[in-house]
Amino acid sequence: MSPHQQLRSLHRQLGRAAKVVPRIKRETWQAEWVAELSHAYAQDPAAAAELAQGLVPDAIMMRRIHLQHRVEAIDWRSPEFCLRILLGAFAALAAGGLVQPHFRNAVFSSWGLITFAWFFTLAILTVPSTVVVSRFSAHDAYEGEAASMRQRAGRWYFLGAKLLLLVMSVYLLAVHLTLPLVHLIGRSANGLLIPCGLVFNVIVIGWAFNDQRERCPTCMRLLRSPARMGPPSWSLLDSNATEEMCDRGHGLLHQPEWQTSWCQNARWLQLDGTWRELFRP
Amino acid sequence: MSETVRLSHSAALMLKTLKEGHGYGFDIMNITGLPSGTVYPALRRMENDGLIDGTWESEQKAQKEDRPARRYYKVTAAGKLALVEAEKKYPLIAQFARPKAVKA
Repeated sequence: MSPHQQLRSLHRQLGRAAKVVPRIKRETWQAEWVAELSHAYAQDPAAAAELAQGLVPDAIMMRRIHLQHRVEAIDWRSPEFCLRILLGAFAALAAGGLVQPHFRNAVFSSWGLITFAWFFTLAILTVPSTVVVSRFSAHDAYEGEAASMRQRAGRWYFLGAKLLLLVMSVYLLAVHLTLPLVHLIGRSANGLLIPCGLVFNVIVIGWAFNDQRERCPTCMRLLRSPARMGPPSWSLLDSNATEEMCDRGHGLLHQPEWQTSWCQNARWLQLDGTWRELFRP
Repeated sequence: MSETVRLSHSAALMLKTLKEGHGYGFDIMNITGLPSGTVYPALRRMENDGLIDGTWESEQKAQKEDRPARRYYKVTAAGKLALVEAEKKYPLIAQFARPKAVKA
């Protein structure tokens, strides 16, 4: 290989590997490798070829470190993250279905619209029973202590967005599951959407309310560090409970393990600003 | 309480080489005999863990020698601590790398 060809080959390898490197670091990374390769080439062209074998592993490592930093930066407890995940699941189910003509016909036909209306009605009918079962209503945090109108509105918007995304996602999931059965048992398989809707709605709506209950009523972040309160002997004459806290220092959720006449509901203990310095910003 | 990073044998060898004054990737390859596919990713990982710190040499110096400016790595305080731990684990490393001869 002539020196000219070898330099072109090195340049091509560098260009290809640079595509793997995150854009923000690419220029510096390339500059470092150009310096290293030219130094090696000046000493021995064969050494430069050997050195270039490290381009791809190094670029992959740069990408891995970048991804690691991005994962570490994700705020897993935030309500935005929860909504993003639900939106992503809905988008994946919709995109996976819309590429199939059978799916499009099933969803956008008049039968599809009727079943969706049924599905939605079932979801609305499921809400009251799920609220009772999940004891969402029996949660003093949502009775409005120390919460501004904006915070209350935010809680309801968050719950509404969660429920809407979940109901629409499980509808698409039910269509995905029942569609292959149409080939086996004919059009009567479409009727399976309704029982599917009933089961799925109960599961996801129950989850939505439980998730809401596990969040701080002020900032809607998931509570953390559950701690069991009380020794086992309290089971007889007192009440054991689990306490979880908001990592922004807004308060503690005290959840009794069973209902007693003096402690029936989960209680939210709002902490004032003086406690904030003990918590992470 | 700070936790010392545990190093692999190759990483410890590279850290020792860097501590002896061999400050860039190609130099480390020549000293240790490790391939570039091991040396450069390990340098990134160690920099990410705060064991080494990379700085660009001055443009004037590089221009004087008619070559592009190189990136040199130096062992940080955390890196020195990790190396002490690694030398206890791999005693032969201490005998391996020799200090870089400084030009007069």
